[in-house]
Amino acid sequence: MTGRESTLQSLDPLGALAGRPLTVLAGAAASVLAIVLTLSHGEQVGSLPVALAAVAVAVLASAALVVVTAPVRAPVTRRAAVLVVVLGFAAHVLFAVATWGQNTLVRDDWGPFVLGLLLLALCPYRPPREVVILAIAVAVPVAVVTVVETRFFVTGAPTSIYVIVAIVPVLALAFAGAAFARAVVLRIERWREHAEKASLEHAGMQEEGIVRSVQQSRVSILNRDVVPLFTELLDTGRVTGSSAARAAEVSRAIRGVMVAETERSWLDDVVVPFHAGASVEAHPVRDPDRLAERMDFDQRAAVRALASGLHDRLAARDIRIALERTGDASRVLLTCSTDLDEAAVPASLAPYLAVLRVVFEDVALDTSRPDLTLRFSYVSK
Amino acid sequence: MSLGLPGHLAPRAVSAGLARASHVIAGVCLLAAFAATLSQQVAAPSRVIWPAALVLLPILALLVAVDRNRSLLRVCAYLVVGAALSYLYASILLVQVPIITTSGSWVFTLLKVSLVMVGAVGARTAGAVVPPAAGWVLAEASIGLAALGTGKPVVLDVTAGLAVALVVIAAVGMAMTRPRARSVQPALHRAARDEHLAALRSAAEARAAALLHDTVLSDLAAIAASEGPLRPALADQLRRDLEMIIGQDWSESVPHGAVGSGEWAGSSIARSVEEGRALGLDVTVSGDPASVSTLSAAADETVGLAVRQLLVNVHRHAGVDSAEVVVYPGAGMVSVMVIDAGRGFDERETGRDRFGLRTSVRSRVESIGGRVQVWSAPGRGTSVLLQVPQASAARQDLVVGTGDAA
Repeated sequence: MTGRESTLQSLDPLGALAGRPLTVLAGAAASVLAIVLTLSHGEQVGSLPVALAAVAVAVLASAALVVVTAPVRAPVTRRAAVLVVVLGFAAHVLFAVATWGQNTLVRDDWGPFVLGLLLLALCPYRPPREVVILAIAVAVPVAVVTVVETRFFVTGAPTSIYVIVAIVPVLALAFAGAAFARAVVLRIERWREHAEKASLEHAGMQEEGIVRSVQQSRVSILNRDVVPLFTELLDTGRVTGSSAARAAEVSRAIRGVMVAETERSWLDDVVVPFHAGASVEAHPVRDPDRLAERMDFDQRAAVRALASGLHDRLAARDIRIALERTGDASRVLLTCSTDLDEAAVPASLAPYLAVLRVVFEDVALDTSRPDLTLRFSYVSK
Repeated sequence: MSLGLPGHLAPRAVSAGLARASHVIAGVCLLAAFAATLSQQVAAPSRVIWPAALVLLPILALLVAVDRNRSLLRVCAYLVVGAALSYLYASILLVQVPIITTSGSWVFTLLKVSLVMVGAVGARTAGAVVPPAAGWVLAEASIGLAALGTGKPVVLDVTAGLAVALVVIAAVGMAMTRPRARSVQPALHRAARDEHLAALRSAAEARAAALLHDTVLSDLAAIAASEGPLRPALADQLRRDLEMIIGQDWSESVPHGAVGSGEWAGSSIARSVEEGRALGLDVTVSGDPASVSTLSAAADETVGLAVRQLLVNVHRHAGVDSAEVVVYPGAGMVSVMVIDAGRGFDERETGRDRFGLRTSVRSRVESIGGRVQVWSAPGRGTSVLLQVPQASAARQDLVVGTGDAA
């Protein structure tokens, strides 16, 4: 997993996909909060246009949250997370300007709550540490804004209390989200370690059988061609012209089989079973540069899961994969045909796509007929 | 890899995560209340506000206890003791701080939220919903009673209510959305397991191919080139081949684990050097040959067969009659370099006829987690560097390394 960030989304793409409705809900809640609290505290608003702008920017921040965390755009970048938080802070500042001189209470300001909700909602998608840093980075200017506003507040409490009131929603919600993500990430990592070991142990137990079956497949060729020749030579003690020619021929044949085997990749083994009538002419895998060998373990496992998913869930036929190099990156093009309704395809494939997006780049799905097309790419180590 | 959690572990992980998140909110709120209380004391030194701050400390201690172990007993203790101390806290502040005029004051919100954020008990949805709701009711009741006792108005707290909503929505939402998207999880884990098996199979195939290349194929080539009486050496070789094909278990041809025979003279690499000399090559060995003793028996055998093939290549293709084998240890690896000053080749242009290099050397060494580098150019000789992990690291790399063997 080197090079991939330790986010909930990258470690548990299906969990992140499952939690997606909650992200949308958090975005909606942030918008509703801004609208409702602005309406209910109309008497504190000095400039209606600026207040409307503040609410509009808050809604924009929520929309940005929903857009950047959409499964199609996974994984969420740091830049996108910063954008969401900056928009949220801008909304807070605009609202402070709109209520300038008339803001009597800090506890009914929606800015800190909106910021807290946005940060909370970003937690599955960004590393917990980054969310904590973002929260502190935005709490400082929120505190400064509050200090500047203190002279308008009516309750007469010390300034430090106003600052605490303003930053607690930001810090509490963001830290909570980070704590959630960290707790789940730790459990996933612990489990992975355990699962990896179990999987290796399982593989180890199968090793003997695998070696035997590999041996068996070789031995049958050898028994047919090589054993009779060698036995005959040992019996007669002479190499005749015809046995020399036979040796050359058998050698060529075995060499041919071995070359073909050497050139066959793991991807052939994955795809060929799902490709009806795979003949040499219509070979389903086109990978002249042997780029499939450069995929790492996670990428291979994701492609394996995808191939069986396409077969089992979409009843896909004629799965074909082509790999080509463009610059540093290897591009994969997968096509297949399915009878499934065009509209139903994205939903059926969503979990697989969520996984692909974590381990590959530029994942794109095209469901237009007649073929279903999937593109993705990777940069090999 | 194994991306994600299996179905039976996901709910527990999510519930533990939600509880931790709740406790963080409760902790932040309690610390904020503590700081706010002390601020009030500093602002009004003549009043006695500091005991209220002390009241918060046992709640904080119980929160830490609940976070360590979410048992029903600890959760109940946190809620009951927390509610009682909240009553005390509110009673002090309502009397001592003039700007706190109702039970809905902001510092009380902090306390109510910290009781709401008690966290779930168990992994079920009910266990996630009931404790926060109970926390809210208890906190509102105790602080409401304190307000009544001091003659201040009771005001229901919207923020604390929203905190309950937040917890309930998070818990219920995660429970509801879980199963559908997770239905693919078993397929993912199966794919990871298949990938491990495929890596083993391809390693076994590489070994078998190498073995075949070194034995049967090379003897077939010898037969094709030698009409007439069968040479005794070739006859012996044919008998050994037959034995291997018919009898031997190939898995035993690559023993695992045990460290090799200990010295250079007994190593498979040294045997290969002798065989190279038998071909008529003048092979010099330099560096630290004894370091091959740090290789596992499997690695020694693999490198030995690879060296043998490289020396055969020098004999057949290089057009010179001498070669050098350099052995040196370093960074958990043993490096073996086979160098000749012969005619060299361009690796990209010699596709299939360099099959021996690819099969017998490269795949074989990579199948035990090693690396092969070739430096050669027409007219400039050839150097081949084999690097394999020493015994302690070898077994793990056997499985991990094959996944990446190119």
